[in-house]
Formats: sequence, C-alpha cells, structure tokens
Amino acid sequence: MTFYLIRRVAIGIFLLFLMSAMFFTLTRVTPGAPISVGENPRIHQATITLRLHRLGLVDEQGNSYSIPQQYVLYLGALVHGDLGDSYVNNERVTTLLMQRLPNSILLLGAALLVALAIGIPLGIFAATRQYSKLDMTTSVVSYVGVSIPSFVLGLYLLLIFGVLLKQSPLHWGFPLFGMHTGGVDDPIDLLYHMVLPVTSLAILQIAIFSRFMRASMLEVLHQDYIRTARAKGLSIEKVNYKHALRNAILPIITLVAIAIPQIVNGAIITEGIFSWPGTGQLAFQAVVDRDYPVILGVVMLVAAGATPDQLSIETTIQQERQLAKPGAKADELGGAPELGFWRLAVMRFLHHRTATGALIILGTIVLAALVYPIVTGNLYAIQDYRHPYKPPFASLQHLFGTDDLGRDELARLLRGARVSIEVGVLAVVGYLIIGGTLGALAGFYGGWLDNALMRFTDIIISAPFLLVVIAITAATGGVRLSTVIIVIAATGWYEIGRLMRAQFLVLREQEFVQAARALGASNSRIIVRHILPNALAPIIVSATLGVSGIILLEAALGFLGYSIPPPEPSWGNMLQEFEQYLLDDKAYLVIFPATALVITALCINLIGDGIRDALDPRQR
Amino acid sequence: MDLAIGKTRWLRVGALFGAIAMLVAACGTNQAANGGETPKNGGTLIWAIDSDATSLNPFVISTLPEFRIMSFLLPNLYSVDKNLNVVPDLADGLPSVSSDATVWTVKLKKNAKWSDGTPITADDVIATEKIQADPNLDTDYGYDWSKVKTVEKVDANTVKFTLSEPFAPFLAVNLVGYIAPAEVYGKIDPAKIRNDPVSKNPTVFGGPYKLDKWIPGQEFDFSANPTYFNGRPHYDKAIAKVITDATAAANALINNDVAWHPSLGESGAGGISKAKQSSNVVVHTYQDLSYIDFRMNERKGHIFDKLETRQALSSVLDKASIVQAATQGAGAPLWGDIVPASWAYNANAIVKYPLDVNKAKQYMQQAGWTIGSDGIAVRTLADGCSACTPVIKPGGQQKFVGKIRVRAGKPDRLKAAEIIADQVKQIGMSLTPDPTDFKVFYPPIMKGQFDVFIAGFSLNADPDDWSTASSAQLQPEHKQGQNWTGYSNPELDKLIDQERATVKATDAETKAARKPIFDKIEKIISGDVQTYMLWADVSSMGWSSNVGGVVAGNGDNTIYLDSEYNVSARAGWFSKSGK
Repeated sequence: MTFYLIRRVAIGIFLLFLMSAMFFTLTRVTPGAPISVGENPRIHQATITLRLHRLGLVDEQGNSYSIPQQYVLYLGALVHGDLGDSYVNNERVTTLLMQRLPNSILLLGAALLVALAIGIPLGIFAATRQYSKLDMTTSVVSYVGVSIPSFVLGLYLLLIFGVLLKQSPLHWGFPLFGMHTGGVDDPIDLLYHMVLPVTSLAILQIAIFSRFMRASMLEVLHQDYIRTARAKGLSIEKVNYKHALRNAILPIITLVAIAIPQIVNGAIITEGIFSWPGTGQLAFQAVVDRDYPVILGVVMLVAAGATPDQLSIETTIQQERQLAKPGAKADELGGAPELGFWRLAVMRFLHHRTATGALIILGTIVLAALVYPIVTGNLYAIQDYRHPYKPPFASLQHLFGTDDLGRDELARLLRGARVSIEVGVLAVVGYLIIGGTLGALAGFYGGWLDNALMRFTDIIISAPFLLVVIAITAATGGVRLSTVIIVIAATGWYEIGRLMRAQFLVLREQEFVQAARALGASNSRIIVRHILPNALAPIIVSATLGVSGIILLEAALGFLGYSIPPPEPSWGNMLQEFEQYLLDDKAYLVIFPATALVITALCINLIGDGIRDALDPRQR
Repeated sequence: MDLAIGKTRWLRVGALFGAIAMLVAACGTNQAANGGETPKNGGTLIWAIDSDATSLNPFVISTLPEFRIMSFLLPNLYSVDKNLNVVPDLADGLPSVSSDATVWTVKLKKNAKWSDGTPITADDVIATEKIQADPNLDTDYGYDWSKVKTVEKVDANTVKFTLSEPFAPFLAVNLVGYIAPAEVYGKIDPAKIRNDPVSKNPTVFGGPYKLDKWIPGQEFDFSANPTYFNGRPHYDKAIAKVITDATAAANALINNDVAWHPSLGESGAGGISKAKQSSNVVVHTYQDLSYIDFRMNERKGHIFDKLETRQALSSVLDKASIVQAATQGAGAPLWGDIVPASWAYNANAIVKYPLDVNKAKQYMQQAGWTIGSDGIAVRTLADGCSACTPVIKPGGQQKFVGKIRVRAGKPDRLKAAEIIADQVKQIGMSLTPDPTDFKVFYPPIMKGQFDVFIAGFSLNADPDDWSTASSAQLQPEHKQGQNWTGYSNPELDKLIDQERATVKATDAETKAARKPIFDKIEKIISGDVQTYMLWADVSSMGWSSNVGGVVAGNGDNTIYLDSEYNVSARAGWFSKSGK
C-alpha cells in the first residue's frame, strides 16, 4: 500500500510537471506580452528591464531568456511553491491565489455538500421505491439538471428572484450578488449571499449524484446477500440502510473526485455572474488580461487539488455510464432471434417513448434550422435598427419578436441552432477521429502509446477544462468557429479514447479475434473488420452524449465571448449580449436562447440514454 | 473608452481611464441641492466598484476604478468644476503666469494637513512632480512633464514651475491632479515603486477618507478623515464593494445593497432603464468628455486612403439613428473630435455630411472604386500596396474588403460596427466586425496593420488634440504618439502648434484666444473625415434615494463632475436615514 501511494504521488507530480511544461510553452508562444500597449510610452528601458527581469523573462542586462531557460527558472521557483509574478496585479501569483482560494473553497465546498446532502438521499429513496412517482420525478429532475449548464441556471435564478418573486414574500431577500460586505464575520448574512450561487452550482451535481446513487443502490439491492438478509427476517429498513447502503455508497467517493473539476468549471462563470470573489473570477479575468502566470497558477492549483486516483476515476466513469440510467422502465421487447443486432437496437430505441419523443423534438429543431434559411434567406441578418425590440407573440411576421437591431429573433435562434449543431457534430467527429484512432491503437497494441494516452487523459481530467479551452482559444487568436471546434476536439477526445481503448483491451483477447488471427488476418483487418464493429455500441452512446456536452460548452464559451463573434448569432453570444435585459421587459431576449439551449441538450441526453438502452446487450 | 488624454492623449488601460479621474473639483456642498434636508454626520456609504485595484500607489495606477479609490484618499492641487473651469483645491487661487508665459507660480492653502498631522507643503507638490517626471518611474500611466524645465520651492506654501516654452494645456493637464505625501513616496526608488509594500498598503492620506482595509477582490473600507482640509465628510464610513458583473451591480443598486453605482452606464440600456424605473434609485445622466470613433487607416494603398472614400462613408451612414440604436441614448452624435461638454466646442465650426446614398456612390466613383459583380467595390492600384493584407502588386486589383477591429465586451461599439457593416454594403464596402480583447487590441494598430478600428478616447479639461491629429504624433512612423490613422496635414499641424502656444495672463483670456483656432482645427478634422466620429459618451450614475447632498449636473454641455470626480462634493453627501 505504501509503495502504491508513493507511486501515485510520483505519477501525480510527473503529471503536474508535464502539464506545467505544456501550458508554459503555450503561454510563451502566444501574443499578449506583459509590457505592451496601454502602458507608459515614456518609460525608461532600464525600468522595463527591471520589471521583465522580475517576471523571469530577461536577465539583468535585458537579454531575453529562451523559452526553455524561462521554464527552468519557473520550475526552480515552483519547487519552492512560487508561481511567479502576475503580469497585471503587481502581486505574487501565490498571494493572489491564497486571497481568492478560501472564497472558492467556501462556495465550491458548500455546493458539493449540498449536492451530496440532497443527491444521495434522493438517489436512495428513488432506488428503494423504484418506478414510484418519486422515482420518476427524480429522474425527470435529474435529466433537466444535467442539461442546464450552471451559468444558465444562474441566469434563471436571477430572473426568478430578481423579477418574478421580487414583489412577493417568496423573495426571501436572497441577495443577487456576491459576498457579504465585510467578509465572513456575519455568518447568517453570508449564508443568504450563498444561496443563489450555491444553488446554481449544486443542481448539476445533485442530478449526477442522485442518478448514480440510485443505480448503484439498485445494483446492490439485486444481490443475493440482500435477498438472504431479507429471507432471514430483517426489516426492509434495516436491509436497505444497513446492508445495501454501505456497499452502494462506496463508489460515490470517487464520483466526488470527478465532481471537483466539474464544479470548478461551473464556478468560472458562476462566480462572474454572482460577483463572487473566488479563483474562478480571478482566472477568467486573467484570460481577458492575458495574465499568463495567473492562468498557469490556477490550472496548476486545480490540477494539484484534483489529482485523485486516476484509475478509480476511470472505473467510475465506466460505471457511471453503465449504471446511471433513467427510471424509465426498460422495454420488455421479445425480439425475434433472427433479427440483427442493429435492427433490434433500432426497434428497441423506437419503443423507448421518451427517447423517441426527444428525437422528434430535436429533429424538428434541426429540420427547422436547415429549412428555415432556405425559405427566409438571410432573415437573421436583416436589420431594422431604427425600429428594434418588437415584442414576441405580437405579430406573425416576427413570432418571437426582434432584437436590439430589429432582427428577427426566431431566425436568429434557428441560425444559432445551426451553429450549436455544427460545433456539436463536427467536434464529436473530431473526438471520434482522434479518440477513436488513438484509443483503438492504444488498446490493440498497448505499450508506450497506451501509456502516453493514459497520461494525457490524466492531465485533461484533472485540468479545469473550460479554463483550458478559453485560454487556448484566446491565445490562438480565438473567436473563430473553426478554432473553437478544433480546440474542443483536440482537448475533449480523451473520453472516447479511453472508452475505445477499454473496448479494444477486452475484445483483442476474445476467441473470435484469435480465430481471425489464426486464419491469417492482418492486424489492420482484425482492427477494422472484427474488433471495431463490436466496440461501437458504447462509443455511439458516448458520442451522442458528447454532442450535448459540446453544445453546452460552446454556449459557455459564447457567453464569455470566446466563441463565434457577432453579428453571427449563437445561443451563447445571444445570452452574453442580452444578459443586461434579464431584469427588464426585454428578458425574452435571454429566455429564448437559454430555453433553446436547455431543450436541445435535454433532448440529446434523452436520445443518448435511449440509444444506450437500445444497444445494451444485457437487455437483449 | 480606451484612450485617456491626460498629460497627453494616451491609451487607457483596461476598460478605463485615469486622466479624467484626476479632475477633482473643489466646489463644496450645495445646500440648495440637499432637498431641503440638513446634512448630518453618520452612516456608511456602500458603493459599487467595477474592478479590483492592482495597486493603491497613485504613481502606479492607471485605471478609472483605481483613480476613483484614490480620489477618496488624496487631495488635488487643482480640480475642474462642472463647467470645466479649472478651480483650486489644495491650491490657494489660480496660478499666476509670467509675462513671457513660461513661469507658473502656485500658492497652497496654509491649513491643509496629512492624516498624520504634518502640513501639506510645497515639498509635497515638488516631490509629486519629480516622481511623475522620473523616466525610471515604473508606471502604466503616461505622465508628461517634458515642457517643465525646473520646479522650485519659493517658500513652504509656494511653488514655481519654469517651462521651456509657452504651453497652454499646462494648467488643465499638468496642474490638475493629485498630490501625494513626499514623506512616504519621496523615499522610494521610482524604478521599484511598483512592488514597494506601501503600494499595497498606503498609510498617509490627505483626502476626505482614510483607508482602513483592502480585502483584495472584495472591498475597500474607508473611514472619515477628521482633519480633511475641506471639513470632514458626513458619512462615518464608506465601503467600495467590488462587483465585476455590470448587471449584478445594477441589481445591487436596485435592491439597496449599494447606495452608489458610479458606472451604471456599463450595465447597458437594460440596467439603466431598470434603475430609472425603481423608486428607490436616483439616476443622473451627464455628457462625458470621452468619445467613440471609427478610425481608419488612411495610409496610401489602404482602402480608406482617399478623402472621397471617407466622404462616401460619411454620406452613407445615418449617424443619429446609428448612435441611437447602438447606445440606446447613452451617446450624443458627434462630428468633430471636441465633445459638446468642452468649452472649445462650436457646433457651427463643424462640417457635417448629410445622409445621401447617391452622393456616397458618386464619391466612391471619384475615389476610383467600381462595384464588382459580387457587389463589392474594386479598384486598380497602380503602385500596389505592400503594407496591405493581402499584399497588392503594382497594377493589381484591390477589393474593398476589411475588418472593423472592435473591443470585446463593449456591446455599444459592437452594435455600431454591426450596423455600419450592414449599411456600407450599399456602396460596395465589405467590412466585418472583429471583436478583440483589449490586451491584444492595439499592437497591430500601432504597427499600422489594420483597416478600421472602433475605439474610445477620453479628453481631459483641455481640448488639445495634438497627440491624435498632429503629424508629429504619427505612429508607427514616429516612436510614440496616437495618430495611428496616418493622416498628415501641414496646415493642421501649424494650427495645433499655434493653439498649444497661446497663453494669456488669465485662464479666461487664454481660452478666448484659443477658441477661434480650435474652430479652424475642427473644420479641417471634420471636413477631411480624419476620423469618422460616432458619439460622445453620455454617462449614467445611480444613487440610492437615501443619499442626500447629491448635486445633479444641468445636462447642458457640462460634465457632471460633482459626482464623478469631485472629492469635496462627495464629502458633502450624507445618509438621510443616518445608516
């Protein structure tokens, strides 16, 4: 055990080292120098040299260090726990992080605790009362939960508490922003301030925890020893809470490890919306300012804090995918034995009512997004800037009203749908190409490729993904749709890669593969003709769910201004543009894109789960 | 608003600017404006600040929020009143000017004290000047004391500035601004001032408040300075809360979480209108000294190199409607580069191009552009253009295609870019908005590699436009300066030099003598479309109705200095409820 721990710690340090090298290089080859424009033109070269020297960029004489030299200096300082100086804040990065970290831990910790306190009991109740109304409700809620990104939820909460309930006693006086004046010396007031940001961060985790807990509990409840315990006369309560729960709750622990980077991602935007002075806000401002030492510092901090047992995470991800199924009853489909696997799967999918319903809704959206431009041309771009803000549902000509430049809101929403779908599909294709190929090769051949793949995914899992994507997008000249797609594809393929690898690892040992090899089939033939078709099922599910993840990610990027730029509409940049109208009579400009986003993500998630059920061989 | 015309027009760091923040007016409380209520002491003023400070050292800071914090803590030598007249604050009367207009003598009030009890003297004024003028000073702010030859102490309360030549902006540009304690800052090596501990933790104050505590990223806690030379402020305490999200800050004001939101305008039309609808909020709107324009690269071979092309642009755009749609009332259409709030503004001196699409098309033809089959204008460039992207060979065809560089996170400018891009299609111009983060916004512009950019400039109380219009300030042709357009006009240069050298015995006489010269300057700048002006900012500020003593500006050609920059006026605010 000691040896194992030492090994894990060593790997963890190695990963941090690798990550720092990657990010360090990235930040040094991109534009946005510490002393650039906006600064004093009359300043003496000697003073500039002094400052650059302090930042570890030049030597005392003002000669530039090469990037490897800079990196060695950075590492030297890093060993002493020093992350260098901020380019902007006239402060050590470690000091900045230490100022902000307690606030973030407070917020994230509270969100995590709330999620556990609500999610786990909810999952247990749902499992012990399978197919009851409570179970169904939990399922529905958890589906919606995973389909609402925390920042959209934040906007909805502002709308609810800032407008709808404002005049009612239900307002409860929750402040719409930030932290209590004067820090943390008034705990009650602080709690009040935390309600909205914590809620918006916790909902997603509640959804995940309750789904996982329910599945895990159900699995345990079907074990023989539970039946034995019941047969021996133990009460249901005792069996459920004493025997089953103890075993079911174990995997949750690793799930918490995955939740941390997820919550950090959410916090980057949520802290901004609610003006919470944490590291997420610091990190985002650092991206805007191209304050690379701070970005690097936050990435390292999160990675160091979230370098949990990678292996168990991997298993948990697999388990989560397998277990966390909805409360919908699996179809009891007889299935004529002569039917092929795929045909059977399609039939089974079509019998899955929620999934087909979702498919119809999504199909309508996609179809409308494709057909509408053919009928209306570039209506989405036609301005009537002298007569803006036609309200929705007032005329047939502009059913959803018009925006601030008098452009048709419906046309813009559908154009935005195109952007979302385009990014979602193309990035997933990227996942499949990169992750599929690398995963297959790693799984089939093993060796260094396998090791490299696993280490890379370790890095990605522990990094704050959203921050990484924003930083890369900003650093690479950003705000082009193609860049966004490439960056998402290049950083997000790991899950499919791992899944593919796992499939290949198992399948390459199967008898039919050995048979093919014995018959003299080449490796490429075995990979393409024999293993691949058998490995596809979970990949398809993962890819489908990947699309919704990417759509939400793109919206988050758009909301932060790092996706496709206006005048081209995307749901994310529409949310960004009109956030100011949230508390206004023009709130429809926020509600429409937010709702479109949630509905689309929800549909895709439901379809993904439908496909999973349909492809699950255990249900054959 | 990216550019501050402080000591000279210079880039504003972040979204904000420093120069205007230094115009601290000295008019005391206006009893008539208190709504009949008698000011009383007590209570805490909680207000919203839109970003944290990177330093609390007056010599290092460069952003508006930072200067706003500083204006609670330090006095000004001179300030500017709401009619943009320079008025004494720490100084005792306006400076006297020698007959050759090169020696300026300033007297100080005798009763002024720092918070540690020591008097504020000529030594402090001289030390402040010396530090600002030191080329080794590690600052992001563009201090310019290059016209000053010597600064001498005549006695404890008198300072003499000797200039190398007559320089009219000296009063409003160099003498308006903060004074810092020599005892504290004079001892620091200016090259190392940025990281000196006092930069994070100032100890001696001379403004209406003292700083008790700074919780980075969260808030600044102030308490009243009982020895403030204009009398102690009415509030016992003040707290500046950092609320980075503009919408959240507007919500905070509406929900009574903060009592003053100075940058309400940043929350957009939605935030402003919501605040105006709230019964517990008082919103004041005033014309600002900053403007937004559409600045073209006019160097040879670039798409906007010909006067006729720029005239075509001017004629195809309906400025008033565009400004209304883009700013929703938070901007006043502008044609010249002197804003209506300035004393030098003269509506009759400006050339305006009325909306006339046919005329615009004619201008395009005169400039040599013909509309191609794809609707985009083309021309043949005999000399080619090696600095253009893409490079055009001599005799090659050039299409009218370009990018409008615009700051990310500035919705009104982006709106303007979107409308302009749509409108100019009519005359064959294909322009695409290109939102860019501030940190990477200017480098290509400073290298002359751009087509058009929309940016903000801030004037100070002096309307001098040397740094953006004189050919001595061409960049990248010269090392420094902000005339990025490449526009060069010897006649204009002469007028600008003349306006800068006109100094009379009194400020009023100087203004009167400079005004006709500014009229000629504005005629050239607007007629030649040196830059396509868009609007002058109309700013909004919100107060809780519980704040008494707030003096509203009259809204006509005046900047509402009382609230924004006037430390003494702020000292006159009080809490009606006493809380």
